[in-house]
Amino acid sequence: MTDMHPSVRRPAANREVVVGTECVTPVKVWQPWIRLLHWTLVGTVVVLSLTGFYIADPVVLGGDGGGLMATVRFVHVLAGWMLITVLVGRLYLAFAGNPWARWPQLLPVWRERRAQLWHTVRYYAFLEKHPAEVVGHNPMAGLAYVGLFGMLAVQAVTGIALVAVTDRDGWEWAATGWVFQLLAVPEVRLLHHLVMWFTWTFVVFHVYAATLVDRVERGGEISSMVGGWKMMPTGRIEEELSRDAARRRRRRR
Amino acid sequence: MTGAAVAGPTQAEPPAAPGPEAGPLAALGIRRRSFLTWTARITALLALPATLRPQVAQAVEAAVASGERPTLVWLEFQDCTGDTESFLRARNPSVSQVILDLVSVDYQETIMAGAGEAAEASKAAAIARGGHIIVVEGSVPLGAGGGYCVIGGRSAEQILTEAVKGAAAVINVGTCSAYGGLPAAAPNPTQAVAVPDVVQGVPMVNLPGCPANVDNITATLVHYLTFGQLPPTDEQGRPLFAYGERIHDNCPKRGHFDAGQFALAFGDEGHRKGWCLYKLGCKGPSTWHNCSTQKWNGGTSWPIQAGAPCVGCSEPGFWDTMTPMYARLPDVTGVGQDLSAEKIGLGLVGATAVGATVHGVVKVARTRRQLAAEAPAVPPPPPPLPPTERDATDDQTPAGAR
Repeated sequence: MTDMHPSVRRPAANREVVVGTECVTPVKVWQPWIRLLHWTLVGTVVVLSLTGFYIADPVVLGGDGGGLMATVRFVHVLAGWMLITVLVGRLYLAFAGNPWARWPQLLPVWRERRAQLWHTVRYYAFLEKHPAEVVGHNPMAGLAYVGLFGMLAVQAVTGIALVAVTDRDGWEWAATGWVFQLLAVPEVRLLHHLVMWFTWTFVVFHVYAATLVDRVERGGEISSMVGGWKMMPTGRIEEELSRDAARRRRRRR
Repeated sequence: MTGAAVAGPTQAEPPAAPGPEAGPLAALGIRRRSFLTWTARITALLALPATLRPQVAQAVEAAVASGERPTLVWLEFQDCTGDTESFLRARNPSVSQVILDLVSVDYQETIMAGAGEAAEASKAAAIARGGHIIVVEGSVPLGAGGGYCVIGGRSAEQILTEAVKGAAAVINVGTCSAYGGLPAAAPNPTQAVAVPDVVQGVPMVNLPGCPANVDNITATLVHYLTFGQLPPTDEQGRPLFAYGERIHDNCPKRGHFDAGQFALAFGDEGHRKGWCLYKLGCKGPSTWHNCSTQKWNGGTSWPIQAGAPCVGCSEPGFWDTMTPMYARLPDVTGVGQDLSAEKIGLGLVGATAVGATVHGVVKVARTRRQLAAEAPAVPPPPPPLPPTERDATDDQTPAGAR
């Protein structure tokens, strides 16, 4: 345990409790940064969707309009940059975060994670009684988040491109003008709109899965994204942390 | 900006060259004052600094005086002659005559006097001399061996390929020759393609539009006469002076857009008040053209001013990428029927919600049954998830993975 990531708190022996015949310990799985990024992302997706709906199909309030479209577009672009900041931050943590934030949690590159992925698929098909025992993300959730980040990256690129059309001399056009070699402006708008719906499809499933594992399997998933703590079998935590420490040692050599 | 550039030089500067009614232009019956007004207007349209106006005037005068007029061959393929009609509606009749005298139009099917063998001979002679300007109107069909457009026994592709040999420049007027346009719209039965898909290696400029604006055609010709080359273009081959700005960004209704004032239906209160046509499908935000500043028919009006949303006629992929004309977002096609983004999105979210609910109900029911079945076997109080059960399940996992 000497090479443990600094952000990981050792499971405190004195906080260990016994459930049945199993020793469970509270463990700080989600770093403050991960939780901050998660809830910032929730907020920006809600703001972006509401403002995006207005931009796509504005309601007319009457009177002088109050500069509503200009204001809403400003908020939308601002929230878009917030979203990009979240994505960049998450990418950074995928390489610099604690063991449960790093990229092997998202892509099942290890044999054990692939076995857990199959287990999770079987769990959702009612073929396993309980989900795979993992401290951080289950591998299916990890893949779903890769898909989510991919969709949000599409939103970021098409969003910058749709800003770029206002000024073809700007850096935005230099960076994303190639998009319009592939798709016409209305088609880019359609893609931007559809991916928003795909994102909400993810949200519905994500909230359901979190509720399921929290309420039925008693995994403490929902509260963990607020406080960062999960109750996990002590052995399981030690196992994952020692494996992470071993990887760090290997990398240092 | 355009207005100031036009008003400034013509009012402030006295005529620079000889007497007001002397020189080669006077011989053509053109008053010097109207000529200088015209050169100022063209200079402003080309987005050149006003200080270059005398150079433009001298180049045009020199071309008229020398009598060495570049030859212009105007080819029509899969077209509606709309660009020719537009070309013949030059803003200032006397100055349009200048332009027609600046270039020797040796072949133009709609307006030339010759016909049949004589016309073909005239075209062949112009091409043989070389250094000519080719203007192409209409797309080139490649289907059926080019049989969908045959003139004088030869296909459009053959005629075009022969005509560009030795040509100084190719000007594609209208969206059809520039990007394929209407004939190339799905399902494109004639396999129509744009001129750049057939010929390369010649200086070429696209003046798309349905039709192209005559002001932009004459300005391109004047640019060529003044500087000996075609004007600089964007990635789509369109001159920046005419296609550098988005319609939306110079639209007189832009204030209503930013304010949030939109016409909801043709003839409603907002429409009558001249509010933004965004919700009626206006493609001004997707279209680069100078319609909003240059206007049409001698600056009389243009579609958005007349209450019709822009249809994006000068964009690559028009018509397919700009329809439906009166809706903001296109539908998703090719899935059996056209579906709106909203239908697809609500369908996906709804299906996921229903699926999750069903899954959740089944899961809860099974968990309850499982706990009830296990209750007698385990001494009270029963743990919610018996560890023996859990360990046994996990141990089987690697076998399942393989």
